[in-house]
Amino acid sequence: MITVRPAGPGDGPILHAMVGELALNHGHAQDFTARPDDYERFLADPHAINGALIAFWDEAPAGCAIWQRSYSTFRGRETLYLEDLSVLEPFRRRGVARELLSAVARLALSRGLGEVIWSMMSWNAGARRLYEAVGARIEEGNCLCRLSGDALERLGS
Amino acid sequence: MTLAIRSAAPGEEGLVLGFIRKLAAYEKLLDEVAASEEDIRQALFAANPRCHCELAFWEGAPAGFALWFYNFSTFAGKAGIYLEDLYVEPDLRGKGIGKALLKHLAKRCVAEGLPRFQWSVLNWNAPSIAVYEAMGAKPVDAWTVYRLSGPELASLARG
Repeated sequence: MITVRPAGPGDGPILHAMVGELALNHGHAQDFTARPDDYERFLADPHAINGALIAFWDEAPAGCAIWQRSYSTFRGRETLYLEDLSVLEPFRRRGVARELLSAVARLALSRGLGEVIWSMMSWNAGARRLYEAVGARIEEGNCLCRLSGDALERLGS
Repeated sequence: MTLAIRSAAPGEEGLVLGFIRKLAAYEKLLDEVAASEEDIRQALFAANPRCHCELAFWEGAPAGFALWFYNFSTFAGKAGIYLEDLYVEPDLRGKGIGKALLKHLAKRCVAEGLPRFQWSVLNWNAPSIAVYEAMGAKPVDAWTVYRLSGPELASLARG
């Protein structure tokens, strides 16, 4: 019932809607300023640093995983960073997220990458159970810092 | 008393790897460094390189580095910069070299219209966190980072 395929040109609006729902669910609707064309650009670029997988429940789009190429200087090789994992509300608790994670793991291995990394909101207990069930381990002691908006303009002036 | 910052050039992968190893030692993670000079040469100087590196020189001597790559924000719909490594030699700290490297990359963000400049810091690294917060960087609260590799990755890939 669940199938997963790589996203391609024309899938921008579906991905955009799914990530928009993710932003809304995470209380970040105001930060979601992307447009479907922003997604179409990387979907059409064979050298893009990012890409996406779409899961379907029968014929209906049910969820997506958006990934990007990352790099570990300690390991001296690329890693895969999972930027977004989104499952639409009607399709939750049916194993869609796990199928997407499994497809991401296959993608990493097929690209010769030995590692997938992602982040999640600490309050997301359902996601945490899934991630621990698939064998992921928490990177302790890491704090992500972000510079944007006025502070970025100030430092960059 | 002069500081100069420029991009690393082919042939400097040994210098870059030396900084990577010193940073790992500072973070108490030296035993995790598996990168070779050839790995770094490929990452920085191959066609369509995945990573970029800025070197800082204090009075002509190598003083530190910033190694970074482009990422993409699906919320903003735009690329950003992710700073993977930032390091300044211990005897040259306190001269503003780390901040100058950050400013160098912030300028690139502004010039290229990139809305987001991100990096990670170990949460015990109070001196660095103080510098980052002084310049307006915000910790992205409540994020937990996961890593999947080795047999667990292979097992998930099998479904």
